Formats: sequence, structure tokens, C-alpha cells
Amino acid sequence: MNITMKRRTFIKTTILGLTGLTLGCTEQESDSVPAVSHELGLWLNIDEDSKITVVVVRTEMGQGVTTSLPMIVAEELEANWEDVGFKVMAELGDYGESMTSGSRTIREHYEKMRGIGATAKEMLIQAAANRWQVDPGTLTAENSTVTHPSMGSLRYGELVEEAALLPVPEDPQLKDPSQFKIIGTSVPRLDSPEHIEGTSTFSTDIVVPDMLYAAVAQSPVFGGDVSNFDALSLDPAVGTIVKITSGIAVVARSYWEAEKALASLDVEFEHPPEMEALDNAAITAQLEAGVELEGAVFQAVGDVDEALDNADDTFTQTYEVPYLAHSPLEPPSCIAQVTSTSCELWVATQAASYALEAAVSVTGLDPSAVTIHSTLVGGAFGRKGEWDFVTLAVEIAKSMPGTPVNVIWSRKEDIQHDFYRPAFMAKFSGAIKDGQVTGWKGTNAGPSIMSRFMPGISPDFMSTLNFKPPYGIPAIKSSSVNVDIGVPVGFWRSIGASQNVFFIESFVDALADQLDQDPLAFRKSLLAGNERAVTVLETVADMANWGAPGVSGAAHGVSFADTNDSLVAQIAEVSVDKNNTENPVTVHKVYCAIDCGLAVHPNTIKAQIEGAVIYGLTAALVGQIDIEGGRVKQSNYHDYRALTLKDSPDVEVEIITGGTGIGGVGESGVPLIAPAVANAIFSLTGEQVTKLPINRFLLS
Amino acid sequence: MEFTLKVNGTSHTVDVNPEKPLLWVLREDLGLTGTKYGCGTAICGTCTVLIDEKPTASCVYDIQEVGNQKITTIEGLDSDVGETVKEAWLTEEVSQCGYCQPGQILSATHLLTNTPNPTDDDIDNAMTGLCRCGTYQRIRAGIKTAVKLIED
Repeated sequence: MNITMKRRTFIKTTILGLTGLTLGCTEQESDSVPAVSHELGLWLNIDEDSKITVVVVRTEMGQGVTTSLPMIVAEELEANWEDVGFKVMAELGDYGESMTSGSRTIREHYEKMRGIGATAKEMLIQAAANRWQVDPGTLTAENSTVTHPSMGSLRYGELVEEAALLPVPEDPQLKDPSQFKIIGTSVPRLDSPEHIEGTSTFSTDIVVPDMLYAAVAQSPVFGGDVSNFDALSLDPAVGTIVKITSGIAVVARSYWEAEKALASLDVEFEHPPEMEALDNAAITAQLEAGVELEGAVFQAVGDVDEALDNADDTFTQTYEVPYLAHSPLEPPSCIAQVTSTSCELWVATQAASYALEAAVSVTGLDPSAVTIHSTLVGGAFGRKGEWDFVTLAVEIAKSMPGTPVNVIWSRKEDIQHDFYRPAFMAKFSGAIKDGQVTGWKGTNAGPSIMSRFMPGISPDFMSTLNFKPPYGIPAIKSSSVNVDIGVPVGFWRSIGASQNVFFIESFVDALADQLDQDPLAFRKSLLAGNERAVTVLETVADMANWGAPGVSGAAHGVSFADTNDSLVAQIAEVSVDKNNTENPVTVHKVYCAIDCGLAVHPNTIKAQIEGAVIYGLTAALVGQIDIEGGRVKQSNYHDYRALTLKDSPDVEVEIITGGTGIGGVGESGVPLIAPAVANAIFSLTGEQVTKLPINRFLLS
Repeated sequence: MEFTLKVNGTSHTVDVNPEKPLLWVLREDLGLTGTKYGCGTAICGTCTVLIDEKPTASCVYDIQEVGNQKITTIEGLDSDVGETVKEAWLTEEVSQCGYCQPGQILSATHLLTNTPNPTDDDIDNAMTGLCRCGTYQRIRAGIKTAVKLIED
């Protein structure tokens, strides 16, 4: 790179207020760094051949950010899309916080990426104007080329060296969206070719010279640890035993040898005796006690107690959902190399900044001594926003300074040592008077995720996420109770919405049933005045031909949610056969309408909704983490089942855009499928599914 | 112990424990990391390779069983059907995170090589590999597009 320290300092303080660090090159990129290339700030690199590289500051875990973020830059930059590529952010700190979560990448980066593209375009135009000695207003930029009516044209690659020296425009002009050529089109995803060829690298694929491998085993019972560490030994030729937090690791020349050696050890664990009493029944009992409490009231509209007192009828129902594991196909893994003065990580993470903190915490090094290479992620769903697997890798690497260690969790370790979607319960009471719902009281109870980060928080805003009914009801009271159970909990794709939309949408169908109303019409009536919401429901109703399932003997179920600033509705077409004990429920087809305001890459939105429905459907039908004796019973995909292609319906998606805002997509398809399917079953059988997973409930 | 194996048309000699699964020989000894670890119990399919053209879970297949059989990993998939499957995968934008796709592509290639016009049941029975991103309907679409491309 031909950038002097002085110019880097200049860029440091002026480009959109960001401070500067050198753009690093990740392992994947080192083959393709051109001989001469120039950075325009931290985000953009253009070489002499006009090849454009956009630095992507969010984790690619299948949701397509390595395509959508460059698309936004390329649009305003007036780039030739064929010449655009991406590079994963290599260094932390100057790009802001690094957590990829909450379906917020586009919402949080749209305007920023537009600004970056527009800024660079204006600098390139100015460089051409300077060279030609013309007014920049006489120039046009298109397809990575600046053109003057008579002076000719210059490619960006010919201009970038001079452009990088120019003052950075404070207020670049953005394009009118009606002029968009790239945003809104489904360009081929930039990351797809390497996945198809098998050349894409996840953290475990990286080879660091002299690298060893490690397998880990943590105490199966929560809160426990190894009790006989000093009595354990291994032939050094076979492997090295390392003590890690709550468990033990074996380091060997090969992962398989490490696992084999670990399995050969007679490891004994001890745990707090009270954990033995923790099982499914105890958990349910704690939740049942929880929903009877008042809890922290976070929504109070009108006087719901008065409504219940004066009702013609009241109706009460309780719903329960279990703990869920994430189980992405790529298990938690991390390569770590520690010396007395440095720590280097290669890790599939959603949160490089948390990985950094974990490394600092274990090593005591200054953050500047830690280098994080953030790789592609083989499925995350929230699991890889945690840093426990980083902590263990750094502990292992610290025990053998200088040796890189590739730590891979077994599937069993992944399933039994997760930060689970909390088990939860909700109890509702509805007041009905003169054929209307006049009051809605809801209390949910479950473990608090945020207490780990904000002790004492009440209500926990993750527990309350989507627990407010999005409907026009004159009196509403919603409250939440934190129940501390002792199983680690964390962020599972759509978090609190994953249980709360099931709760809310199930109770809505229960009320519709009490009032003898069609569930879809009932929802529309409660959403009267909310044009966007009504449109989403009408759209999905049309898609599904609501009320007239195509399959004989099947029924439709509907659900609606306002989630991540998107409005979403789903209809599932479902049959039930309790004689089929493997698959008592058949979901023939799922329809989804999503109003997300803006569609940068429509095909990715569809793919994300399709995939989210399957992820949510797996959980809805068969997802359960059983706790027995203070430990997780499940251990692999044979008993923590994932739906296969054979079990999976097609999902039809319609995207509604044109609003003024941007809605998030990544999680938004997940929480609606459980209630849509459960409501279809209610319609078929007359009995509500009040406890997930559905298969277990139907066969019990 | 030394073993010689044919992978993607090339012979390699490795010195490993006879019980070392082929998956780890490919990844660690031969540097072919396109084949993935997902469960270690032959359920998830991310370790799928073709052994004499047949999809096989390499995580439970000992190196000492390989012998003279021909191994194809995703990196070496270059048959006409395989190339067409890859092209169809891109057309249908099948992949999300990409982790399971090498196994899916190899299984799809085997299916179409032996059953050029598979029914939905054929596809269901052949494509048992897990995808936690939920790309199943696009895997189906990819197979159907590959069928059309092969016919043309």
C-alpha cells in the first residue's frame, strides 16, 4: 500500500469521523492482494485495475452480508458490480462494535454504507476534475468510470491514487432510490462460489504452522468441575492434558487423537449436590410458581382487572416452552496462539469484540496485543455471539506458549454446553364482553438472559420482547417474572420473540375461538387502523387461499408479529395423524408475507425467511432440551433432532417494500411458525397445543 | 502406519493410526478442508465424500478400510454431472452459510448420476444431510434445475 503515515492520519480524522488503522489482510485474502492498491478510509479499497474491495464489518453466517453491504456501497459509488468483492473486517476498534445479531445489519449500516460509496465517488470525480481542469459538475460517474463530454473517460483505478489524497467531502450527495441499479436486485451472492467449490474457510479449516488440536470436556452437570485432575495422566506421545474452566482438555497432533485420548481418561466430575434435583418437572414447577406472581409490569393500558370483573366471560390459558439448543452444524471452535506478549485467534464468531475481551481476560495482555481473525461462520443462530469457546481455547493455548491450538467442540459438547433459549411459561386471562375482547392480562415467567450482563434487571427486555400483544385491546396488563433456574441461557435466533410470539398468537386464536370468529378476520379487526399490518395479513391470506387448504383434511393456521421493525404474517397448512409416532404433524406448505420496508437483496430475504421457518419449525415440532439430574440429556442429532429435507415444507415468501423505514429480516421468520402450526392443529382437533414441542404434546 | 489412498485422482501416502477416520486424514493430513465435521456419528452428512462414487460418511470410515477405492471430495468434483450440480446450486442460490453444501452437492451428484430423473421421493431418500440454515427447498430446486441443465 502506498499510503504514508501522514495521509493515514489525515484520513483517520476526516472520513466520516472514523479513526484509522491499517487495513489488515485475512488469510483468505492474502493471495489476492494486488501489487498496488489504495484505501479510501477503512472501508474501501480500489486497485489500479478498478477492482473494488469493500470491508464487511459484520459476520457472514449465511445471511448474505458479504453481498448486501457491498451492494449498498457499490450503488452510491457507481461501481461496476462485476468488479466488486468483499473482505472480512480484520481489525477491531475503528469500525465500531462488532456484534452481528438482532437482525440489524442493514438497519444499522444502510445509511453509513451509502455515505461511504457516495463519498468515494465524489473524491474520484474531483480527482478527474483536477486532472482535466474542469468543473466536477460537468462529469458523470457510472460503471467505475468518470466521463467528461469531450475530455473522455477515466476508470476509477486510474484516479484512485490522486483521489485518496483529496479532502473528504463532508456531505456527499446520495442517489435517489428511483435511480438504483444494484440495490433491490438479487445479484449472485459473492460468497457462494467458494462454498460450492469447498474452498471457503471456517475457523477449523485454517492451518497455522505447527498447529496442534484439542478436544474438550466440561462438567456435564451445570456448576460442576473435574474432581480428579491430578490423578489423570497421558503418555506424552499421545497427548497433553490441560485443565480448563469447569473441565479438561486434551491436546494432540490430530483432533481425532485428542478426542480418543480424552475418551480414554477416567475423568471424574463433581458438582453441587443441589443440582441433582434439577429436572424437567422441577423446572416446570418453578415456572408455574412464577406465572402466579405479579412480576414486573411493563405494559398497563386501561384497567384490566375491572375488565375481567365486568366481563361476560373470562378465559384463561397457560402455555409452556422448553429450553432449546442452537446446534449449528459447525460446532463452537477457535484456534488460539498465545505467547507472553501476544495472543492471536482465528475464530468463527459473531462478536469479535467479545472474543477480544475473553482473550484479554485469560491472558492479562493489553487489547492491542490481541489479533483476531474473524472467519466465515458455519451457522450461528446466536451461539457464536458467546465467547466461552474462545476462553477455553485461550486457556489451552496459554498452557503451551507459542503453540497454536485448534480447539473443536464435539457435537455432544455443543449440545450439552450451550447458552440455551430459556424455558418459559405464560399465563393469560382474557375478558370478553358483548362479543369483544375488553381486557388482556398476560404474565410470562422464565430465566433472564440479560441478568448475566445487567444483574438485577427487571423486567428483562429480552424476556418481554414481543410479549406486548400488537393488537387494539382497550385494557392490557403485561408483566414478566425472572425465574432463576441454573441452566445457562442466551440468545437463540429471535430471542424472547421465539417464545412470546407463540404465547401471544396462541392466546389470540384461543380468544377467537371463544368468540367463534375466524382467526384471521379476528386479527384484522384488532389491527384496524394499522394499514401496514392489515396489508400483510391480507397478503398472506391471498397467498395461502386462507380457509381453503389445498390438501384434503388439512387446516390453516395463522400468526402475526411486529418484530425487528418488520411486520410479518405466516400461514401454515397442516395435517395431523397421531398414529404416525415419528411425524404426527405434516406441514404441507408455509406462506409468509413480510413488510420489511427495504429489500437490498430480495433473494436473500426470501432465503432467510425460508430458512428461519425451517429453523423455527424444527424447534416447534421436535425441539426440546431435557434436563435430568442437573445436566442435559440430549447429546447429538439422533436425540436433538434436526428436520431433514424430507420433513421440510416449501416456504413461499412475498416481500412488501415501499415504507419509509427498514425492517430486520434474519430472525423475523422464526417466531411465527410455531403458533401458525399450533393454530392449524387447534383448528383441526379443537384442542390447543399448550406445550411445545408439538410432537411430544400430541403423542403424550 | 502407512496408507496410500487415491483422492481426487492423486495418490497420497500418509502415516497415521489405522483407525483414524478418513474425515480427519483428508482434513489434517491432506489439507482438504472442504469436507467438514458436524456430528461424528454419520447423521449430519457434512463429512460426506464419494468412495467409488458412493456417498459415504467419512467421519466413521477408518483409513484402513479405504484400500484401493477411489475417493472424491468436493475439491475434486469435476464430473459433468458434478459441474452441472454446482452450476445449478449457483443459479438457485442454494447456499447460506455454506458449511453443509459440499456434502449436499456430492450427494446430489451421486443421485443424478444414477437417477437422471429423480422423483420427489428419490430426492427425499437421497438427500438426508442436515442443513440448519434450512436451505432444503433450494436443494430440491437445485437438483431439478440440474436435471434440466443435463437434459439440455
